[in-house]
Amino acid sequence: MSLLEVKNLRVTFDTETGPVQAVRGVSFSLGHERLGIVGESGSGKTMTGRAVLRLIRPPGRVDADVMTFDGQDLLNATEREMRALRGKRIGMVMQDPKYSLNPVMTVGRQLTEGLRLRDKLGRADATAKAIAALDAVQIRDPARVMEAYPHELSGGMGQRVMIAMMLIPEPDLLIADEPTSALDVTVQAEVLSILDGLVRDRGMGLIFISHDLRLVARFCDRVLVMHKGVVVEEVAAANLLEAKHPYTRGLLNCLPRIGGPRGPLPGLDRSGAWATEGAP
Amino acid sequence: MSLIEVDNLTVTFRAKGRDVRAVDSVSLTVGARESYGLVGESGSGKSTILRAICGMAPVTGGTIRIGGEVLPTPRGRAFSTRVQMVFQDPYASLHPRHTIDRTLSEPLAIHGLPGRDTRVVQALTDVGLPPAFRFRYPHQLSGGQRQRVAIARALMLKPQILLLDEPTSALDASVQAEVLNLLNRLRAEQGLTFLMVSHDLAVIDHMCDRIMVLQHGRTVEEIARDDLANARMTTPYARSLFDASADRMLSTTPEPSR
Repeated sequence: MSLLEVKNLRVTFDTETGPVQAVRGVSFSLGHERLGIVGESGSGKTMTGRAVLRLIRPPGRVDADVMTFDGQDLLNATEREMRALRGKRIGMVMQDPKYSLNPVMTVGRQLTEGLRLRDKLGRADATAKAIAALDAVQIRDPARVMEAYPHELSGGMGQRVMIAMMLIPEPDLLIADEPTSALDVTVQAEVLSILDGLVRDRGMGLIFISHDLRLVARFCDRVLVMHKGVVVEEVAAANLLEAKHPYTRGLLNCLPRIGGPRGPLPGLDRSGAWATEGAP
Repeated sequence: MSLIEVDNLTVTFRAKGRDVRAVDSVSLTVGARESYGLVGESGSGKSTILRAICGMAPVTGGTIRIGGEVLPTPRGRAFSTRVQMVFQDPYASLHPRHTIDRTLSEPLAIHGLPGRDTRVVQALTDVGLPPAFRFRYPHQLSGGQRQRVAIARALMLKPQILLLDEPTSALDASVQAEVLNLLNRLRAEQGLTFLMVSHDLAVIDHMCDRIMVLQHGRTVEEIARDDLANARMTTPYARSLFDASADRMLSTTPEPSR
């Protein structure tokens, strides 16, 4: 059974020069698996993730033929029903910890806020659970981090705090928007294995949004490749190298490779019909 | 003789009454027209080394020589005509209220150099931007275009050495390829020496002849490019970086050339 079903999702912004569609008819269904969404900046991958949680603010509009989570209609859910889903059942890790953590609250207070208000835990229990969550994302000195303000943390630490915060309510679906882009490769590997463990052990569904095709291919089961708001190709991650679409191939080929040739890297050829097709 | 000689460099920051040694006795030499890479995780001190060369970090030990001469403190005008830096984030490193023209001509004004018009147009052409971009503001440019402007600004005074601090990590893959190609072309055309910092081993490998791996401010290992390509590193840390590098997954299958 699929956890999330999306058919013909469109995100539209009304601008002075007329409506601009950031997402133009995206369909996918997600089971208890790891789905990757890849694309360059402006491809609509982040908007797709946010639209699922109905986090697009006016003047942006979300339309779809179908958008259901675990049988529940997300399009017509009330704000109250959405609030019950957000965080608790569908978690989201945002791109930039600098803007997503509250700058005037200690990490500890931010981590325990939900536990105390939503789960009605006592101070000691909430603190213990928060420290355990920080431990789970490999933060070495959780007691010190609990006392710290976000500006006292490095980008990588901030991102791990965000992930810990989202994992505390044990959501069924996690939307991770570039969760590891700010992290070092070795820490990245740790965070990915944490996410991997959650998918495997708890049957969590994961939407992994990234610009890094190779990372997504290594980590996810299926990959949607997006360009200008449209899914141009869907491939099983294992077969990424056999991807047919010129855009996917271009993205793969323009990356430098250890021990690769020293000549100029092939640029992305945007002359094909796909590049301008139905462009707004 | 090497162009850049860093000998036993130590940088110590004071934070909350505690000394933090960001760079600890690092030595390296870079020859003229060579491209040298520094790799490591955040906090390994790789960017701090570049900042120390520019006089923007508290050096507490060791010496830095450029062309055999110990650098004066403060660095002075002669330094900026030889060494220039390109920063990571092109969104933060260009003045938001200055036109590209003003950004590019400022170094000329400071150094009292003539021919401002032709030099600005030439600099834009060199980095592959149309001359009409002169009168735009940074917010009217894409990330890749901004980074081209940042490179153009660094080259205004015709330096010998470019210090590159993660010049492409804020850019999309296809734009990264364009900027890396641009840097390589400029290095060949203008005979530049690069000292480049990146956390992406594949980028460093593509750009650099020799590579230094850093961890916690110390040198872990210096690797020549061939040894990296053939995985001949001697320390476990360098190997773990190599193994974690995202492109390992695709490297076993050679790409069909098309």
